[in-house]
Amino acid sequence: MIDKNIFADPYLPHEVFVARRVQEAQDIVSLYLVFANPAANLDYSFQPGQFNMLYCGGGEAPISIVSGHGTAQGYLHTVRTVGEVTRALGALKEGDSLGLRGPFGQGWPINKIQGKDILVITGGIAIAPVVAAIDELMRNRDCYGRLSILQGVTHDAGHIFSRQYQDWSSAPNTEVGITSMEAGAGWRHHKGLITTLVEDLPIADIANTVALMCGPQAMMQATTAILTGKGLGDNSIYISMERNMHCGLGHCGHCQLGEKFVCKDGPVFSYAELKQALTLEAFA
Amino acid sequence: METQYFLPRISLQQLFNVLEDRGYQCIAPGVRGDSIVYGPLRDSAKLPWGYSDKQRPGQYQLTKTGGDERAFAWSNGPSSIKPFLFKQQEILWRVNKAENGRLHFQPEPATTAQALIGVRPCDIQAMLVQDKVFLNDNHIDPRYQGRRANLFTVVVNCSYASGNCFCVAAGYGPKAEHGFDVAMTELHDGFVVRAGSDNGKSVLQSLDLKQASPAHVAFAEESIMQAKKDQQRDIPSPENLRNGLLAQQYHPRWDHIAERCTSCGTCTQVCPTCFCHKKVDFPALDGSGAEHLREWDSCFSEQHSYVHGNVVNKDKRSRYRQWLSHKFVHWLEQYAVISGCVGCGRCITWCPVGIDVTEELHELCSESDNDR
Repeated sequence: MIDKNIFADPYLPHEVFVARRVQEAQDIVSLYLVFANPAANLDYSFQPGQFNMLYCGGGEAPISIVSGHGTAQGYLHTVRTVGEVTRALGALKEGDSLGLRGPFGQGWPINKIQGKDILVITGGIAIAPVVAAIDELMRNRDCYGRLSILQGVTHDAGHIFSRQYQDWSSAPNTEVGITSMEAGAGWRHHKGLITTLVEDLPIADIANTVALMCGPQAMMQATTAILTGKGLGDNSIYISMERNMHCGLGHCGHCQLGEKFVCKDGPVFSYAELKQALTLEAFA
Repeated sequence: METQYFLPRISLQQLFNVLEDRGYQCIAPGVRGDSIVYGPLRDSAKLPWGYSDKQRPGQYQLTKTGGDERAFAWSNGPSSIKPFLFKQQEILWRVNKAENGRLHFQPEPATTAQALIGVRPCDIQAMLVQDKVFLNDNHIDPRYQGRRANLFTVVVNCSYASGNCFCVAAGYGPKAEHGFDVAMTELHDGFVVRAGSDNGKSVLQSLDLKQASPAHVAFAEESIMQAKKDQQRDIPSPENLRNGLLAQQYHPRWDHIAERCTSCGTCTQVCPTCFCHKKVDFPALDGSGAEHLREWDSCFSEQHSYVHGNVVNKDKRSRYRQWLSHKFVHWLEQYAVISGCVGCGRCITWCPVGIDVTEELHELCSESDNDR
């Protein structure tokens, strides 16, 4: 039985353990987290695209939930170690204790895009918030049309989850395109920018296509321009935004973007919802 | 219409006493240093009797009224009631690290019962705006909620407006219509009072007051009218604000503001509706745990929009624009309020370089500019 009082305070973290740690790349670490309270482990649920606030000595950081459904394996969080908190998270060992609160935000419109051809376009670590969505599509593969998964990285060493990509590429009616701007001799995928992959991608039925995107804002804006050029509507493009977040509840104000708070109204938005605010962003 | 009573000036202390008897800590304005600020106060004699203020852009001066010495003849001071509900700094929780490395998270309770006496109508309105932030649907801050539930407010309608007040233009003041427990209007010999809640009614009943005479009521209304007439400042209509602030991102006035603004964030600190805060972790030196705090933040700081080595709002121009467009445009959509600004004028008074938000809004949103 979960202590409802603890869940009643959305600011208070729950204790979780690192059940398994995987070094995905030099600066990318996967942590499988299990609740100290076994009941919480079963009761916890999330929507693909939502995130948790992870606490580790020094503070909290918003981290996407990659996978996990109440199993002993734990909830997977994949972290790029760039700041004080994420470096501390990356330094955790198996068995270490940390704090988790969430899930927060609105995820991908999984039900709304049934029957559609789907483009998943991501850059670097930003594949993390989309994996749960792809898993969901794979679980109900018949409910969706053609699935194109495009991923761009800066260096080939930053290409993670290669086994998942392999599994996805062998799924029915699914194609995978991976590109790296810089790559060594052993690289079997494309070289160059993700935008080139998007430009070259044949889209059979634009009226029945949606795009799910996550990556650096400049990449998403450039990709959006290409897709709208191909005839994709603003309502058919979904982007997952990244902003400074301290609370996850729309209280702290850091992620305010026009009339939205990215943490509670997003992080996933249709491009139509953000178009005006993103245009104004280019103010500086 | 709720019955209006008369509270003689000599009986004001009884209001403090009754509230204290009911378990409230009384908080009221007093002269501290060179300004009027709120703090714990048990003795009504220590209210700012005989004081008023003069305010101009970048200027605040405490003055003596002389003659008829009232307790609330001033407009407002640097501090609103915001810090009593949304603390400038507070511990959210503590974490203890056991020998075996286990973490124990302990919430920090916050349930003091506070009675705020002498609240200005603009600050009551600001509190109602902040309610929408912290008590928003299923996104509730339990600390704010706890303090709010244990709050008693005595608002005193304004009979004087400073040179920087514009609550009338903002659409809120200068008379409190709702959101309080007791409302008072000050006259030379006492107060016309009425209850705004059941709790307020019960407190007034225990004071055993006589009904206010029609003359008292008329004088009270007249004094509020005076505070209305005193106000000279105006702001553009919501429609013009939207057009001006969102459509004119390259207006040269933004550069003009950026040249003067020091990015100090004082406007956001004195603003009774600004709610931005950051979380700060203070680890114990011996590694045994940490205190996790939140403290006020300002959208004028570089860190405010920092994400992954990138700052979204890179310069003063974009930060000032973010502040104005949020407060005067997006707040309306986010919280269904008249405005995110209640017209208290504090940001004008306490700006070290005297940037006048009403003047800037007119420059940015005037009709002729919209037609350009």
